[in-house]
Amino acid sequence: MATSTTMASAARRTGGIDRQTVKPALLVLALAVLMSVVLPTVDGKTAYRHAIHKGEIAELADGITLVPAPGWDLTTGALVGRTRSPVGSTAATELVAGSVRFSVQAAPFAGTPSALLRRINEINADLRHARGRAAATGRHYRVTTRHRVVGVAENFVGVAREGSVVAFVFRSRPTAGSQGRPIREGLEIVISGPDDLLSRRRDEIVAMIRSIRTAS
Amino acid sequence: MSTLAADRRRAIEQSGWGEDFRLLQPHNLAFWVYGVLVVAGAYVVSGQVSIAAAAYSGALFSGIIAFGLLAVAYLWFIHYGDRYTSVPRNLSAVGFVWGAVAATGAFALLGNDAVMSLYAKAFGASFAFDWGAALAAPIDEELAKGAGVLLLLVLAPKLIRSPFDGLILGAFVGLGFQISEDISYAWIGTANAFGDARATSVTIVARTVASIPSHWMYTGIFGAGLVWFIGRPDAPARRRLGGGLMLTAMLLHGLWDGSAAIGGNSVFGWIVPMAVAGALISVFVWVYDSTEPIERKWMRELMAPEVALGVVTPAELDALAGSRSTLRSYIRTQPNPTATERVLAAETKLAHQIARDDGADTAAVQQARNAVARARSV
Repeated sequence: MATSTTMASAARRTGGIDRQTVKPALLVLALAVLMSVVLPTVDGKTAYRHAIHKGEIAELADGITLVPAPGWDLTTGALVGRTRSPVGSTAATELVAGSVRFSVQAAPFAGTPSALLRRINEINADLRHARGRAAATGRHYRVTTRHRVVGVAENFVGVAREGSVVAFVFRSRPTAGSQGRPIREGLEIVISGPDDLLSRRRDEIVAMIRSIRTAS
Repeated sequence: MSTLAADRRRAIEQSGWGEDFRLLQPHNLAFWVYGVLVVAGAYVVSGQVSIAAAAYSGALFSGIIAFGLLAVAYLWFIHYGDRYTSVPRNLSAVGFVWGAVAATGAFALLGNDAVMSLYAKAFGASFAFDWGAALAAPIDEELAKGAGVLLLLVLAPKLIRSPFDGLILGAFVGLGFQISEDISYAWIGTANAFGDARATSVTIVARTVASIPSHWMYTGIFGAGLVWFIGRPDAPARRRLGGGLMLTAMLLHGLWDGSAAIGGNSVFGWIVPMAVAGALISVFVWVYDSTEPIERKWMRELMAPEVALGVVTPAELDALAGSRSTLRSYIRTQPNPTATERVLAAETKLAHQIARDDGADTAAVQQARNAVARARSV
């Protein structure tokens, strides 16, 4: 009996694998390949089709806006008047132009711009240490928006990219969660890319930083 | 063979009770695919965890502790729902690991990012901001978790015998995914708030409050739908119902993720998630109520010969194989409810032993019968 069972099992196998298990297992494997290999590859080869037009404004956080340079692509974030979901006090925005990235992280922050930049540097140092990557940073300097909000910036140089980190702390408009008090909103702006492309986009980058303001 | 014995025999065969689950099955391709994708998922997830441990270790460990405790509570609850333990613990653990590691790392993390980025490229970032998560996650994540249920169906065909088993196993897979996602949100919240640890507390509270209408329910519904769609030897395929349930899980997941955009900026924005949560819980309860009676029928057929032997009383069998309200009301009306619970627990163990020994009158079955008698005499 045992021999006939073993023979029957062997007859159902190819290369030591039960044939009836092959189809569902391969279906699952194909789904994993589709999601983790095919889709990211297709995404990597697909270009943005919705470049920023003149007059469009990005909402960095609830009540804080930036005027993006026309022609850049908004990859993450929201344009004023174009979304149904509210933009909260913690939000991410990213603009790209070729290999140049302009990313903004907004979140409530009670300290000064210098304190925010110090916090960002501490976190980045921990991350670089864990990843074994090095980057040199330069001296701090002041950056001022058109509405006279003063931030602190520093430049950095890494192996493949270089750029700047700018920290601002804005007084945003009161929200339901802040009990009527204006909240202090920190902004971390990271501009990075190859040296020559950063130089070419310098005026647009400066204009975007200077355009940041709170809604009146 | 008497009718009772024949019914018992059929119940053991149909239910799969007493079958052991063994993950190590070298002749089963599902075993190799499971192993490869869990390893691949662990590699991706460990990359994330190493970032969190380097810069946000406090948030990471707070998340692990808080959501670890939440996992224990839900594991108990789902196990409680699986009244006769039709899904063995090692099988549910294998499902949980799939959800926590493979479905996240080998499917959803990369797939979701790619799909949401493609939406931004095709329709603009504002569209992706509103609808990206609602149109990406329900498809990617339900398929990723459902793939685990399918693999386990191939690995344990004798154990997953009914849509109820699909519901319970799906709930374990979904819970694994949910806890993994919760822990990642705990430290990502802190990362997005410049390392402010208070963001972790907010995330923990919010995700705990929203943990009922979540992945364990979506995947439970999806799992029951998958078993109905494929069919089992004693539960014929019902493709429309099965497919409908799988789509319902995806649809409700999408509505939940899109509730901020659907509700908009109005003061009634909270109504949408509440309505979705209500619908999800209703569907889950309906699936549970529709699929659970077969388990009770099997229990009745399995234990009926014990009534004939005088080991179990007819009233006890009615309670054992009755609905939960029948069971509760039976226990409540007994002179000593605690002793009654002990007897019923011993009788449930006897049922498992009978199934494990294939209905034979073995020494172990006799010992289990003696345990029932001892519980009754205390």
